Amino acid sequence: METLTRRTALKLGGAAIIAGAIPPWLLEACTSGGGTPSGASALQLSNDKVTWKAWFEQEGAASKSAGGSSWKLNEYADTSTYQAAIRTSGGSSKVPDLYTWWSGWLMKEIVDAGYAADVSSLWDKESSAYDKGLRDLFTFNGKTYGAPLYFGPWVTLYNKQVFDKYQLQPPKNWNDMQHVLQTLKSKGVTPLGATIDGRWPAFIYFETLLVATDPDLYTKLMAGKAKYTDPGVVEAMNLWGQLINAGYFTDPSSVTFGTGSSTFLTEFSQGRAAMLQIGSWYEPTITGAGMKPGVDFGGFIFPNAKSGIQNSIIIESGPLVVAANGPHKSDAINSLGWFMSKAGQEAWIKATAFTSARSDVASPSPIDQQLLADMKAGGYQQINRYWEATPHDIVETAIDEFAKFMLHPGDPMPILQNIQKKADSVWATIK
Amino acid sequence: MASDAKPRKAKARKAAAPEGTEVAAEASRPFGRLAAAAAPYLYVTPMVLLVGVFLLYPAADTMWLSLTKWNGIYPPTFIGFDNYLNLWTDPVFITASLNTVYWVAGVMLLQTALGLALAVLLNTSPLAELYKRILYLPAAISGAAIGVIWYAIFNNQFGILNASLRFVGLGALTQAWLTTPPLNTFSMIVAAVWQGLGPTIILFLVGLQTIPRDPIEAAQTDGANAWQVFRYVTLPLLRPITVVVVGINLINSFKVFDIIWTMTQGGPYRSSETLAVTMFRDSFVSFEFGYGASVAMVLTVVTFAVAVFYIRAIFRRLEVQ
Repeated sequence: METLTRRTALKLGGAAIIAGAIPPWLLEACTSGGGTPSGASALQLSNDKVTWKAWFEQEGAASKSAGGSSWKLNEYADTSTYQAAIRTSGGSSKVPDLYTWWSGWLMKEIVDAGYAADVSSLWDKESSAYDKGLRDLFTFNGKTYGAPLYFGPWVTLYNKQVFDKYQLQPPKNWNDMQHVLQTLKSKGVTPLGATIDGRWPAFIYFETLLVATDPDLYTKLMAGKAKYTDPGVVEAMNLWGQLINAGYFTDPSSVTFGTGSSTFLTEFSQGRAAMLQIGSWYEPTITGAGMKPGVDFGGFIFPNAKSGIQNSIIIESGPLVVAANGPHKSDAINSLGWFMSKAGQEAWIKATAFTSARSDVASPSPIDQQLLADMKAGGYQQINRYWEATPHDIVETAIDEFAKFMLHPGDPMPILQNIQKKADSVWATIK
Repeated sequence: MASDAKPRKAKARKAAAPEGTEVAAEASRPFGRLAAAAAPYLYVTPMVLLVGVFLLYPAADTMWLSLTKWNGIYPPTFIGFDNYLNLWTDPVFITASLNTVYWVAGVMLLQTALGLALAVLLNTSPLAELYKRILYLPAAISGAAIGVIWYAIFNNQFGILNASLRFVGLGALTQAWLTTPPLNTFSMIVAAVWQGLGPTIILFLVGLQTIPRDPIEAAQTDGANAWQVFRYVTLPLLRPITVVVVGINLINSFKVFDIIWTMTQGGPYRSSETLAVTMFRDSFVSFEFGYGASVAMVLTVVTFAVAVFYIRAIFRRLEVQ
């Protein structure tokens, strides 16, 4: 038998130290590809939605139970850091297998860079279950590059108890809406929640009021075929200014309703503020504050401020993307295919209580069930949210200008001119 | 010749060293001289590598990046000094530069003056030890936490400050502390001074306690009052500590970020950004890494220039004295 010499012991000890110092993910990467016969045992999923961690884990476990791969999460607490990480790693093999992203122009950047895999075949297979308008959000040059991770129509959530107290009904038209606003204000209740906290919410009422006055102009503006200084946009801004001056909004510098702190929830639940224009994904947050959907709070589609215009509703849908350069691309596509299936969506809705983008998966929210029914009955066209619908460089300038307007409402023209100046420079670089 | 010097020196050491000693043994080993000469550099190497990898290389890379246009997706495109030229007509950069001046002046003046005043009071207080500990507590809290605390104080509607003013009947004095420029910058300066006061007081206390009694007693004997003693004896003798305090506050105020980011994120509408915040936002929010790098270079050069100018001016003054 070979005796254990000092040299041998050092070799073995050194090897043990080196092996212990290697990060587990590297060891896994070195040995990956040898998982179950069906492919990788776990797919890396990066995201910036830290509050969704439990939901992703449940969905990953359901995927594994269905014979696919589980999801191993890589979370970023800060959205900017997350975007920077994906942008700089997307072209390398260090990119995660799956990652969450944003639709529209933000997605176009990564598609043009070749960071997103073509998943058109998955949509073709499920074409009857998904709205074509939704597919268009993730489609570029005839190919589709992501599956809807969530689907959120933008809804006006309202405190039912406050409405009942003052004998108010969800408004069906602008006259009704004005009656609701005036009544609430006269009773000492702030009608609408608004904030500039987090910067991004500053666009909410701009998009809402422009879509409520001229949805065609909104669509053209998003595509650079109209200007921020066009009369229709000025009209929407003037309407916004009138509502602000009438005292119909919460103090945007004080109230918050972001994913971090939310002072608005206290105001809303205690009946001091009555309504909030927000994506339906906010409903679980209100439910988490102890209010029951359909009982304590409800939702309606913001009414048109002009008659004779096409019924339109703003929707928000972020994709789950398969990395084109990911280490387990085919397994990731299979996993995404399962996620888009009825079984996958039922598991996702069970975990999140969101409304599925699939038409054959019932929404658990009574508010969304009514919303979807109203959308269908009213022939509502779906319009992408401002954040995604127009180039992001314009959005970044616009939200600061909108914040200025919210704090100091007056002549909107200087603000619109500033935004248009940025828009001109951005559109000039886009072919 | 010089090339013969080292072997001759080693032979001389060996000849001078008693037999059997370590020096004699070392000098006689083949690699002994090389090891002895290399030892100091080996001790310094880890820190040099650390500084090189985590400071010098990123600085050089940032300098290069500032000459490019890069969005993080496509390879950087060299554009020369276009980023720097655009800075001077960018209203956000101009606002951020002005805010940075406010921060530097505000923190330096307020923190130094208040720190000195409190240190003088504590120096003769019987409860000095207790007060020192209390006043130092904010320095132990992170900048982000400081921002959260003071946001709760300055919030327009729910903040403690406005609520207190209304409670005592001074509602007319309530302000939009964090959303009215440049009041929002001054409000955040108050938060930063509150955090930095503790270390400033400690440093000044150390300085005060090392001042010899003789000059003070001599001045008192000559009839100087308390203020005259402080102004003409204590303050000049405190100069070495004051130099350190002002220098530290100067550097810290140039690079402030965490308090601003947690309190206002540089808003509203980028009105409370400083150069450090602008650099971050342009790079990591707008994905204009080249432009953000140019802001970083301007901030670095300005900070370095001010620090060098300040130190040289102080040492020149000390030499004259």
